[in-house]
Amino acid sequence: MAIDIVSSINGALYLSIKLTIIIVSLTIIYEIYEHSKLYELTKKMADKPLNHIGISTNASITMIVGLFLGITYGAGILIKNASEGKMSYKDIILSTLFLSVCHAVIEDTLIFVAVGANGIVMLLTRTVLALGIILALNRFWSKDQVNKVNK
Amino acid sequence: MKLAADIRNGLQKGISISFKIVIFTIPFYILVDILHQMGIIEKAGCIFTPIMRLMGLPGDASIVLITGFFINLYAAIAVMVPLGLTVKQITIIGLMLGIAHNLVIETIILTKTGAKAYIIVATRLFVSVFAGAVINLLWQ
Repeated sequence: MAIDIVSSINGALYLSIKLTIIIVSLTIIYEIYEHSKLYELTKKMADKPLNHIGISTNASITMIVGLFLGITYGAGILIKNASEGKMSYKDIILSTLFLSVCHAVIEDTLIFVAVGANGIVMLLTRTVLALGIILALNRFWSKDQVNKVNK
Repeated sequence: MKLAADIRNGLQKGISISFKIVIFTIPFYILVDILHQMGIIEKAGCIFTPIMRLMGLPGDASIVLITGFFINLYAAIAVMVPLGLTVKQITIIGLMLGIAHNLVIETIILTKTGAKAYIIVATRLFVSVFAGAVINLLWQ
């Protein structure tokens, strides 16, 4: 059997270049956004409902990006915020798990709808499951912290 | 100027984040691609055959799932279309693969946040099978 290593390497390099371009452009845009007035505005608007389910503002923006655009976009911002120490460990785990289950929902759904799938069933189930995971983890985490305090 | 400083900072951070991801994605991409070319990923699909009935899918569809889990949705669709599945089966596969796909590359990217790889992979596979089984039961 002939194995085409050159095409594998080409594919890997192509992917790497694509990832780098996406991540670099996105971190630049995010850096500008973070120091603009828009950031404060979105923060104020998103804080209350999202904090209610246990997500901080830094994590919520990441999740919205990843939800619509995909893991590379979302994770680029997520890694940036995580490495700058702007997110708690809980935030990191919650948003990583949310993103891993529910990302690029538009593209993923459309390509399967194109071959005959029911898009509404796909979208609804994924969203419900991702929210369920976050709510369950958030509850588990809060209990865990209460237990630690009691000890 | 503030804008210039933001752009410079973003560029620096972006390059260092990309580097952290790319040094892992290159070798793993090549590994998965070679396994795919050798037909090993397709053969590994057999391990899913026994639980396919749980999701209302034929045994053959296990190849579609394993292709999606290891490679991506486009490769999985290319394998799926010739099988001639029903709308319900295609939707279940789409849902399962939407939740868990391209696991090698995406897990590498996600672990750079600080989360553990096995937690991510286990959650995605479990949620994927769970979602498939639930929709199979509810959709009559």
